[in-house]
Amino acid sequence: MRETAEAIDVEATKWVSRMDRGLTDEEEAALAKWLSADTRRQGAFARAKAVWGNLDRAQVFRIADEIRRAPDRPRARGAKLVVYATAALLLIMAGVSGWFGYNRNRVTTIVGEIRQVPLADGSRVTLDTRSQIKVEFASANRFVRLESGEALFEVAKDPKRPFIVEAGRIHVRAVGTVFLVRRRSDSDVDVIVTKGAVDVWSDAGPPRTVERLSAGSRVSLDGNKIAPAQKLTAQQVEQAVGWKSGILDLDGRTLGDAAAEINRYNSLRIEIPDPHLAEKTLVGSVSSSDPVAFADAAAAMFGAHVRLENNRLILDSVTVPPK
Amino acid sequence: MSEELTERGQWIASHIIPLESQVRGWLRRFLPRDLEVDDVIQEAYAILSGLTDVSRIGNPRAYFYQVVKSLISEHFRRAASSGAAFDVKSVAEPQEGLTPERILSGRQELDRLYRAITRLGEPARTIFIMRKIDNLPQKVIADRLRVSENIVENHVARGLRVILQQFAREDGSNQDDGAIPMKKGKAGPSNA
Repeated sequence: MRETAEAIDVEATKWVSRMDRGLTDEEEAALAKWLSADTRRQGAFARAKAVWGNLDRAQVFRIADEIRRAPDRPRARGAKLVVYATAALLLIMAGVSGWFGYNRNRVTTIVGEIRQVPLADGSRVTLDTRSQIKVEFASANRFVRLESGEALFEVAKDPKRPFIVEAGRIHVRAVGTVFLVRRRSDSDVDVIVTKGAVDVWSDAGPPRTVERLSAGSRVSLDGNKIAPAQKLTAQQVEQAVGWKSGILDLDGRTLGDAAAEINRYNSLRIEIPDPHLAEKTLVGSVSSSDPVAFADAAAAMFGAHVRLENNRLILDSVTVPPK
Repeated sequence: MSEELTERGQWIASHIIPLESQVRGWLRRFLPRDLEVDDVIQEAYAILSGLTDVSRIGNPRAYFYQVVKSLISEHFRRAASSGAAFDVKSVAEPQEGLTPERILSGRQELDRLYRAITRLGEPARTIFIMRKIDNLPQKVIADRLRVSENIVENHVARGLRVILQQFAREDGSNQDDGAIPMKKGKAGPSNA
């Protein structure tokens, strides 16, 4: 008898769950065999995998509190819709990170994703949009390579196993502290310490000196040159790690600038063809994951008009320029 | 896992899954009696997940419909002796509304996900939250909840199944809890 679609779906979800905990070699073979017997199985499996991966989204985090508080039975929650509707676009429009194949060592975020990853030693890494780390823990040290993007490291204390982050040619060693590493490009790196202290060195060129960097300071490597440490104001530190909360501080920024920043986090891009409109200055803060809300608010503020075209939000001036 | 496969999975999750309930609705109206919606959907996913280069598909929505239509046509070709003169290609798929459909569907997706998760009983919900929101591996969840890894694995599968069922629903609503009003009427079309 022909296997029902439902039976296939049940089996497909079981396979995805097994895959999520890691397959043995025998299971890999069994899965391949199971899939090869019917194209519907392949489809059901692809669908289940894609949905499971979809749930990995950082955006899900935003409804996490809602879910945790949710009663056992669904109830009317019209108002709550707003809470998570802001994140909805991304859930669909951005890609999915690690949609399948749980890789223990490498963590990648896609456009718009901000992801917090607990590490085996109790430390925590928060990855900004489009970033990647590789974790290589050994008994003598805890080694993490920032391959691209930006990450905030909250390091659990363990004097016996220093925590070392390598970002291009810069190295940061911490014992128990909080610091941010940002790769602006292959060769340009910033390190900002928000708590405790770290040792920083570069192998970009001799002499190799180790610099102690304390909380509230920043050191930058530009190409081969490591610039002397700089003291930051509390506000500068806050702005530097502000992305972690998903909120962008817009004070004093131009509309064009703010749109560019929001575009870093979203697949739905905001475009402002009119340079006069792009030069308007903003005050306030905005969720980095909600380009629609941002465009709506900006339009209302400056008398502009928003239209959606080919996955782009275009902001046009509609007001007649003053005579 | 190759980059290409990852990209394809992302594409399915972000472009195809959100359209699934709509395509199902369309299928229910046009599908010949001897075909099952679920079967066609599974076959369609098999084709879509086998695509080598999804980046060149400019309009995933049209593509999804095209795949589904070609599956039905193929079915007719196979059953040609019956003389069924039904050309599915001539049946137009629903047109996109004037409102930004994807914004709406994005909200619907999250809404669906929320419903699905709240529908999960315990311990499936706790396990889901620990796995997907706290990002804990299944093994750690089993340790913390003091249950076997097998139980965690089964609940993960069951939770995923409930979520998949929710995604398949035509209008994203539950029969038992009524419709959730769209608070922000601005972005949502009234003809939904």
